[in-house]
Amino acid sequence: MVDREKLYQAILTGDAKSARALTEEALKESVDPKELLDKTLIPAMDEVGRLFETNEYFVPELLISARAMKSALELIKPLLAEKGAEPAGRVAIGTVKGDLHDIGKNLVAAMLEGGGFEVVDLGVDVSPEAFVTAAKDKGASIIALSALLTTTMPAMKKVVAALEEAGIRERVKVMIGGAPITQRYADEIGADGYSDNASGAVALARSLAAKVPAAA
Amino acid sequence: MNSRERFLGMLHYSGYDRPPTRHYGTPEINALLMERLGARSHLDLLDLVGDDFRSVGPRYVGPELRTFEDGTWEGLWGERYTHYRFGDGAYPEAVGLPFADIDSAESLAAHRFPQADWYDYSTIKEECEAARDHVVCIEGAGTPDFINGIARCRGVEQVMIDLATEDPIYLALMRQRFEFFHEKIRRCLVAAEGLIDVVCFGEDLGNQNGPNLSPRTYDKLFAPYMLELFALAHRHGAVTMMHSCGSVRRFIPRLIDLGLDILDVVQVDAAEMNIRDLHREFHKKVAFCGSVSVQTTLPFGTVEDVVREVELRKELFREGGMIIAATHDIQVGTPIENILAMYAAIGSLEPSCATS
Repeated sequence: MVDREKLYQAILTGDAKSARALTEEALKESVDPKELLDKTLIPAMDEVGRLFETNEYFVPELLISARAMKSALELIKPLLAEKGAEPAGRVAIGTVKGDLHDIGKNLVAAMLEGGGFEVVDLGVDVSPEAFVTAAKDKGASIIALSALLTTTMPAMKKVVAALEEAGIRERVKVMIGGAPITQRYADEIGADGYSDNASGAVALARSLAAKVPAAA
Repeated sequence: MNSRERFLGMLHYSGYDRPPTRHYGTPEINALLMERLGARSHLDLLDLVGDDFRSVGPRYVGPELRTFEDGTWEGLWGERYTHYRFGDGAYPEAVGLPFADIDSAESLAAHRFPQADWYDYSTIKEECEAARDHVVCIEGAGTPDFINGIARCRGVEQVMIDLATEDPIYLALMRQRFEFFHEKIRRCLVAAEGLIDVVCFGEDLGNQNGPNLSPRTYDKLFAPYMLELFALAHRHGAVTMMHSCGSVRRFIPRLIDLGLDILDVVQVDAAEMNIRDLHREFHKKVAFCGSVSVQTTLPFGTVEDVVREVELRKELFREGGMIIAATHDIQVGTPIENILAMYAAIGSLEPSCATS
């Protein structure tokens, strides 16, 4: 029987090879994928997030843990889809129009995936229309916006406006982040939430997902 | 007091007529300032805002750095850049990453790396002499820049993973950068015969919330190289200045141990970078450069906010230890009035420009 603690540690230490092998072993032993995700993998990523927030882990450690998580998720996701298991939420994430900086956005995307969310990564330099399309066509109920530059921050407001214009603002939550972003700015542009770090973004997304109207 | 005397007063806490300053601006901001102040050249602009520093350097005589039909151009390490436009400005962004897919020492060895021989050092002393009233400096934030410099050739995320896994390719690239910059700086210092005041370095060790990498990783992978680079500058009578964005307070004691004299840019909006706290903890242990925010005060504050920030620094560092400047290149969209207010409050702005 697969050692769950070893799998937990493989995620924690960013050992992608072991994480994949142990996940494969667990699935061969007919462990329920949803249970493996909820009881071992997500708690491991939550611990990674905690270590990051307390400055015991830094960006490099976070990234290799996320990579290990991804290697496990690649095996689990198709099985979850087969069973019709719902993710924690669907998030469309991107760096806003005019901005090419993606390390923060990628960290948040990886942590959200590790937190059980389905993530649609729209990349960088993403137009407001592309976020609207993701919400409409991909069923994203959370839009996550990233910007590094003070000069590209205003593009976030344009996304909120585009969602309003498309008539879907009520059913979509908007969360924002990036170096120059503050809670005050989030309030100013009418975003639903702000996080200053990747781990906090997962907690924020969980709280926003709980507030998404049931029809969404 | 000329700029050099002012700088030495700042460095040795022996007093100065005003704090020294250094101008950091994007090309777009520089163009707007030049128009506003009637500057005829970049050097003219530096004179008008009162920048106390002047950069000198060897002349590039190496292999041609090509520009391609698609408008991209080649960097020293074989990387390619393009101008990426955002609103009213543009940034060079790396679009060709020569080391992204390299996974063996053999394929890395086949790559062409820049050499100190690619530069002509014969005019350095003359340049230093011409700028002698100013603080003469060489190099900049891209030296050795083990994180960003290699990321432009390998990808940011890959470099972060390299740091966690101590990837041999990354370590070999660090060694290559160190050897190139060490030898280039050494030749500059020898050629200048003691006339270089500051050797500038850069490494973005922090982000908005904290360090980018663990102090343990820094100590193991970066510190040995920085110890040698700082010592090289000191052996030739120059002081060391290092650009680092973000929250870097936790690195400061170690940087001081390694031989850092001036920390640039002091991003005060980042965690643990409050200017009063930094003054309390590190005054007279290391000097600072920067600290007027390009994230908040300069773009979004009022003239009064800018003046208040500058006055606070003048008060805190009245004995010396501070070069007041922006925390990064001032970005397009920043009110010109705020920029002029900063230099006026420092006391460096050419008086005739104050009302222009």
